[in-house]
Amino acid sequence: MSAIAARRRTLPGFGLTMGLTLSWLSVIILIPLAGLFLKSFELSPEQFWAILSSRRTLNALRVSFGLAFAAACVNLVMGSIIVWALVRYRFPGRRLFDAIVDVPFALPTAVAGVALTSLFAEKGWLGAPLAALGIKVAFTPLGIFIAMIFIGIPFVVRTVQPVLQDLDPEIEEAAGSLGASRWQTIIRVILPSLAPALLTGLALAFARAVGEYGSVIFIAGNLPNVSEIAPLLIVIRLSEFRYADATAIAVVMLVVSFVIIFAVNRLQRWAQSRIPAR
Amino acid sequence: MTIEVRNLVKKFGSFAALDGVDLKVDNGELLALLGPSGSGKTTLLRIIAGLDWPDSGEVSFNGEDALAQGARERNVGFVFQHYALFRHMTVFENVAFGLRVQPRAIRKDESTIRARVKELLDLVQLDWLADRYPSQLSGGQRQRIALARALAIEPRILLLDEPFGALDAKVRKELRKWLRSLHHEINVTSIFVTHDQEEALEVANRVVVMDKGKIEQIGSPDDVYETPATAFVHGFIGESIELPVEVEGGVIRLGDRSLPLAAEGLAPGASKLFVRRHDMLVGPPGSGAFEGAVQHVRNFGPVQRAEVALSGGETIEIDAPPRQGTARRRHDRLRAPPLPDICERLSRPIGSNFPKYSPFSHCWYATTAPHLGAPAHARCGRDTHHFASCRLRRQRSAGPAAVHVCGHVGPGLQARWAGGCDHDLAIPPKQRPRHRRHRSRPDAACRIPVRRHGGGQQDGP
Repeated sequence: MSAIAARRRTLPGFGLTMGLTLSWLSVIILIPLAGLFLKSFELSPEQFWAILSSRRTLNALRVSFGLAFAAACVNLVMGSIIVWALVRYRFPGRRLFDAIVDVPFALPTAVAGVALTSLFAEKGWLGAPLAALGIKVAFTPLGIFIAMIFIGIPFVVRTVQPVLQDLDPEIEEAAGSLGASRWQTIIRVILPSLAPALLTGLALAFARAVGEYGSVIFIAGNLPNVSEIAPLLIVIRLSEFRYADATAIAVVMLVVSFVIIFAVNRLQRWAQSRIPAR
Repeated sequence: MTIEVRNLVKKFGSFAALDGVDLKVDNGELLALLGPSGSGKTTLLRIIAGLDWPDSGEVSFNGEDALAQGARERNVGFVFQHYALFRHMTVFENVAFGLRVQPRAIRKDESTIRARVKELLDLVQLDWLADRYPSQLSGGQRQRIALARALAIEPRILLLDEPFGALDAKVRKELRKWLRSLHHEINVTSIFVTHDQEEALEVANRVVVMDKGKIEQIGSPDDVYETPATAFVHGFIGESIELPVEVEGGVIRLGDRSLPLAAEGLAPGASKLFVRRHDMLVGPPGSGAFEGAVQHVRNFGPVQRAEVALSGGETIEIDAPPRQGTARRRHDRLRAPPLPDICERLSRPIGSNFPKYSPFSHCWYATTAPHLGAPAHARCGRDTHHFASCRLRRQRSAGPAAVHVCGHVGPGLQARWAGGCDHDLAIPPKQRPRHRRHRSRPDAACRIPVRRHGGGQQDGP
């Protein structure tokens, strides 16, 4: 069968590339993750459940996923506006701003964390005026939220940017000449066309924020049950040599992340299917 | 809805896309804006639609200022070259879009919208595609949907920007006919932009020829073809032979040969002579204005095309019309020359003893344009205040083919002049090319008989 199938394929190289794909994915992703699962099997179901249902774990997961999702949503809105400005308008310094968007990609996250912390600390440039208003940012969940926004923004911008660039301005003109107001054009024409890219950007920013460690731990204050993120809890358990506890939390994070990202991907596929390729 | 455009100027940097354009479009007209790319025709269309704004000038619809309104308020249907359909909407929703975004106060209810969309899809004969997405349609279908979408808002004006430019030749031809009949049916004032002269001449009631941001000529398809107002129009519409000539001491020279054309009123210097390919014929040696040798003869469907090397060195291509009723094939010209007098010689092999033929049995007359710098259109058959153009009319009434001569005269000045020519060949009148207009217009002032026969060398008037 394989010989016939191979002969009938128009594009050669399927066997080779598929083999490489599978072995590479196995070595890099699947085997380490399988190890994680295996490790967690050292726990009995009761122990597993006890670890997960402990107040500290639940709070850490809630902080991680909740804030990551909120940050991704903020990034979605602000990222779209930034993309719009960068793609649709020509202004001095545009290329510079375009490059600045990538900074969170490249900056060591610890540096970002320290910078944000000193900026938002009670005596920092932004922290002081906010403190005067009664808003405390550093060492609170709000700080985590800001760090997550910081590291997630380039994902939205970079996924939406090429799609918006390809979006023909003529369709906006068409909408306008058909009597649509600017707002109607955005809601009915532009956003639906960008939806798949927006969803992808959302998923990526969310995934990044859930997994973020370096920048968050500096600004979070890491108060258990209040501003402690799940990745930090894993590290704490590791330093206490409670490896099974750490893997249990990790497995839950993994499963939840996978389910969420898979769901967003399905959503994105559905949105894409309504805009078939030209 | 009449559209009036006055002194429109639009610059992109230092490039003037529109350089003082005046245009009046009558109610119910189907007008073509024709010109090469960069001539400003699309810019003009976009300004009328409200998608662009002029630097100066006026646009009014039925006398009211249109520039005071945005694209949204003008109620203009616009069809884009690349369709600009909404990819995430079905065909039905695309057409319904204009109705759905209407202000709530005047928005129609869902069943009315459905009925209206159905009606429009029937009009463009694509009702069976209502549930498809644009990407599932062919180019021609997409463009028809785009047209239906533009018509949904019951536009006062329909504007089409190179509507068939992205389609293949066969579909384009079908859609041309379809557009014309559609316009006949709905009778909305329409302007379409094209760079395809065939399209413009076939579809439009009136053609506006543009070049370099200016209007060169406005007229019926016949007008712009038969009586081009400027050298540009002559060169752009229809196939033209362009010969560099020299005006010197009242004589027009091509190389070292003086041509039997009148040069009165022309300033001395370099000039250009235009003539239609099919207005030239090959005759016996010494019978015409030019000497030359026939190099090749080829058959293109109904015409026989001869490549002629003139004695001055220029090579030109001329079209000889066929004899009616003779089936023409590629290799039968030796056996059945359709015009014995002409084609026998055309089909002679080229050799060292090949005699020099005079390819033209035509005599040419040039009319004059005495007001240099003034709008010196000696428009064939229209302008009566030039003596020479009267004669032209006289000649036309005798039924010759038309030759138009346009020239640039003097540094920076442009004089436009037209000429006529008379010939008498063994062609029955109905085969003579292009004289369906200007048939008989007697003019007492111009009764100079200028009948020329293929035999003799001709003089100017």
